[in-house]
Amino acid sequence: MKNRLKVARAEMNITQGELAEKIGVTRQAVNSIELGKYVPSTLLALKMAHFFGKTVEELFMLEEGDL
Amino acid sequence: MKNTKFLLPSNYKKAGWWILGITLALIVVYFSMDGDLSINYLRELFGMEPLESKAYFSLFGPNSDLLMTLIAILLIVGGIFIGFSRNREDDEFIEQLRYESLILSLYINSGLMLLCLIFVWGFDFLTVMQFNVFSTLYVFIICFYLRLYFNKRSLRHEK
Repeated sequence: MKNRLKVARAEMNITQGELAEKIGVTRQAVNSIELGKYVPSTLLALKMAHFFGKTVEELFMLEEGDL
Repeated sequence: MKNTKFLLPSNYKKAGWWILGITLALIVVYFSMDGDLSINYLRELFGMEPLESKAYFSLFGPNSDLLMTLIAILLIVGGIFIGFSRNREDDEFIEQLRYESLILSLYINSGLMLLCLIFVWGFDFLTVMQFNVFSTLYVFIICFYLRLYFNKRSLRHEK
């Protein structure tokens, strides 16, 4: 699975730490999600999408190997 | 989002480190002593006659090693406090790290046990079994905190 989290952050001009604080997770969680090392739960993905004003599908995309 | 149902409150962690510190000091005391710290040992120290031992397996038997028992209890309690209390910042990612570290510690401990079963014999194996009482717990603590550390370290290069 790939994500556009870094792009969304850049559009909003916020750091990983600020995003983490806003949605109630650790900076490590945000960093790991961006690097594709960790797949967030449905709730966290929805929270992120809600924060950025986007849909979950705009932030997270399935790759060929996921199907 | 985070499931910390079975974890102890975060202030238990500090207590756990204190307990571990005291336990390590007691271990040094234990190995610097001549004999086991039993009731009969204490009676001999004060010039009293030793008691007849009828119950060999009772904690309060006259020849039971009280200090080693205390050390074992403190190692387990301290380890549980350190390994299973909430972090100051806990979220689903830390929970996932904790879960993976637990599985990893079981694999590592089982692997070590397999090697010891094959290569260690006699009374040395008894010593191995004594360590095995605590090893899974402490391997878990090492795995978890190492992974947390490496994760935090990788944040330095990220914004």
